[in-house]
Amino acid sequence: MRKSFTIPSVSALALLVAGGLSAAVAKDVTWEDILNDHETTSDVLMYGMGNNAQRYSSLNQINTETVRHLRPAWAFSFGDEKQRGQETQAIVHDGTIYITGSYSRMWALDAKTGERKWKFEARLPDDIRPCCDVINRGAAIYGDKVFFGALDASVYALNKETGKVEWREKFADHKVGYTLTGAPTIIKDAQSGKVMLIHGSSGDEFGVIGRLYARDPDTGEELWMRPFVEGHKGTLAGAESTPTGNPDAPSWPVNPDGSKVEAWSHGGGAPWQSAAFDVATNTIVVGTGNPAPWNTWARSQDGNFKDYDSLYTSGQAYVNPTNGEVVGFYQHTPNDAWDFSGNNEIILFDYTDKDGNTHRAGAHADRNGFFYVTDTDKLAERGTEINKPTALLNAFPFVDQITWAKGIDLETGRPIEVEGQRPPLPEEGETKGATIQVTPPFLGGKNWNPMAYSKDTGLFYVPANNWTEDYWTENVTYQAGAAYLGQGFRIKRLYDDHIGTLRAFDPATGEKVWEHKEEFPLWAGTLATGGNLVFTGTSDGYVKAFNAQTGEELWKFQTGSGIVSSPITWEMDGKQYLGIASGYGGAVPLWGGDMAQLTTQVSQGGSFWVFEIPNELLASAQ
Amino acid sequence: MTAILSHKLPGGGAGLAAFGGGLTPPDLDRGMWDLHRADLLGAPDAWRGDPGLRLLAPANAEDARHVPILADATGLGPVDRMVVTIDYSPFPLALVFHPGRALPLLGFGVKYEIAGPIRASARTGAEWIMGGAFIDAMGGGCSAPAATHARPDWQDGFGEMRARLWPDTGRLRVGIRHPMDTGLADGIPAHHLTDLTLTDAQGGEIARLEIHEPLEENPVLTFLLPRDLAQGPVGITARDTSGFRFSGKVAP
Repeated sequence: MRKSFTIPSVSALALLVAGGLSAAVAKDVTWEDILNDHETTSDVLMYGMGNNAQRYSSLNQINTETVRHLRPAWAFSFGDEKQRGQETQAIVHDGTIYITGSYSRMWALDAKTGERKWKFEARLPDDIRPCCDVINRGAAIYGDKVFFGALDASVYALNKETGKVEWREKFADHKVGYTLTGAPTIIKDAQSGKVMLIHGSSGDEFGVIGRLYARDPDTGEELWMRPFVEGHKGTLAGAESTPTGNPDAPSWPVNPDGSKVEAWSHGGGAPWQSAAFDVATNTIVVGTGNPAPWNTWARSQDGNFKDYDSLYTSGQAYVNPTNGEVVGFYQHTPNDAWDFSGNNEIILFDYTDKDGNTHRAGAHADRNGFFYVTDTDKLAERGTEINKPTALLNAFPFVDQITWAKGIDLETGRPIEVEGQRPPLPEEGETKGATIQVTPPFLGGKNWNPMAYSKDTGLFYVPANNWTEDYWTENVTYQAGAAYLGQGFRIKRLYDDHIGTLRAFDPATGEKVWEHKEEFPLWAGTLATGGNLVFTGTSDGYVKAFNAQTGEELWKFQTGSGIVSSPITWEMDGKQYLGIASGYGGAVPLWGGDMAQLTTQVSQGGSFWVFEIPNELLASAQ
Repeated sequence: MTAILSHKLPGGGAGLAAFGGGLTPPDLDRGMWDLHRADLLGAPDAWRGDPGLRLLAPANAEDARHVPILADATGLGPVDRMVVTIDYSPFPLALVFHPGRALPLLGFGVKYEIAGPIRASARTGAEWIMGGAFIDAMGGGCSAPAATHARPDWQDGFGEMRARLWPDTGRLRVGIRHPMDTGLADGIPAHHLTDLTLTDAQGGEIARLEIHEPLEENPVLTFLLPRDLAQGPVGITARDTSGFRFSGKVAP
């Protein structure tokens, strides 16, 4: 608004012309752009950097030789007083970076300069109930809009040029615990030809029924909704649709009068992370959350948990986008007694097993400490039994000293549980059950922070944690808006020298090819590149680069606050950039028990850092 | 010039009688007027004052968060747009009123951050007519948190509408509960109404209002409708910066 007093009309005219031009050249995002996102290097359009969620870029200007020259190009401060966890992954399109932040905020930044184009801040109610910090994991982009979820259980579509609200849809009541932290994903249903916005919900710790939604990206209209507790009904085209699986929900117990137990009405299973999309079979692939309450006995029939799996929680679900029907399911933790959940990402990749047979497969490193390779074609197959425990191709432990199971039976697809690892009920007259020690703890061998897969090395890079916990049961009754766990816990150290451990695994042999230990828990995502590098961030503030083959740490930079976000890379005007958000928070400082000794050493923050190799150093390096 | 219509409103006659003549030099064509004319009115070549446009306002803002204003351009020829600007506000553009089939009269309240002129500029044909008033104020109205934030949950009652239509005079009053947060109060992001539209029984637009930060918290708006439209019903729709949508309907 600062214009000359002498020639006001001229400057106003210039402003109008400039505005008109930028609107005319703005590029919309097409489905083809999104379909090719995993191969194009000039943009990042998806959470997971493609439908397959591999977090791999073929870019190699920054490589094992040149990475030592990496320097900040610019940094952007999220500002405000609201410096909480920044778990986001940025999107890059047409010279603009779209990044979300804590408290349901979003910014558009000039990718070259870091200059802010616009800011959007959702006006949140005072009584939002996110279990694990006021975080957001990222946005989706399609057409002329960007989309992201807000903590009051709503979804926003913003004009990507102006940041103005195009539509807002509130999908559930935040007062009972519904919220949304995951990045939505864009898919295209091959049958109807409709492009859809897919998003989930959070709230298992408050006893919500987890739901997956499909929306029209233009209007926000709900196309279908699918709950992940067996026997609960979904919606389709504005009307009630089918129940999920068996309408009688035999995997949930009944009361003496034949009615379903209380837990069934509040059973969790929330798909709070982002879905992958298998284009070949036209199937949405998404992890489902823990059952509610955590207390296993509330979901068992007179102490019998073996016949009550709490479907469809703590597993991976395969959903037909045409009608929102679940077509396949593999459960990592049947009748999950430990809040292991099944939400962690499922990376779609071409798998060659030990015998040299190839499969289209999904890779998943669960909070329960086991790495799973599942058969995508089997799980996406229509017209078969939904629950497919035998769709397992391989499974192996990826963290140390797992206590709750000896392993996963590759024949039956079920865990070989260790007796006495389900926290026992309180004795008569007691309010707490006996304390037992369980490894890994509920924060998981790996949590939400996504791993990466490199086609070049054939390895998965898993940001894992070695830790343990004390666990005990408590009495539990559902009360709307209150925590619904029935369990108490304290997270503890397993080793003196480290908690975080970045590990490279061969999916066929389960061999740990290398590991890099970190003093602090690892809570940042990973990125693999054609430069033979793996990038991640640490809770004590470093962004680091590793040799993808050997695990050697090649470069690090201190960002001033802890990193709990996912890195991206892209290319612009012949140059490769690396981008990552810094700002500590998330579940560890809130629920980490003994981790407080570490986490209280970290300053809060909120910024987005972009790195490049300066031109002169690039020239000398070549 | 036709007779100005403020007298049809309760207290309107007294208001007109107390009208002191509006802005006079040097306030009339100084302050931010040159700049705002260029930025907010599209830099018209010419403008003038006219007794057919009157802006009624208190000389002193007793409450900087609620300064009542009546902008009446019913004494002019057909008006297609009325722009309300506040010279020294951090948000100089308060409202843009598109009267459409309503009369070019609007009652509203604004927040005042600092003493200075408020102006209503009406476009009739190719001509801009400006009238205004100087309001003395202790100030702070735009940077103080909305009163609703002193309550346990600002969402209690949020978006509730109250409206009344008087078919004999054509007066329409619309109130809507909204914090109208400017983003200047510590820790409270901007969250304000952006649009409000009046529609007739067939859903056709009667009038439209573009709303900016200075409009007061829980705003109450007064419109004047011609006799046929004043028989109602009148539909009211609004939306805000956060994508919340509000709608209601009022009949006599």
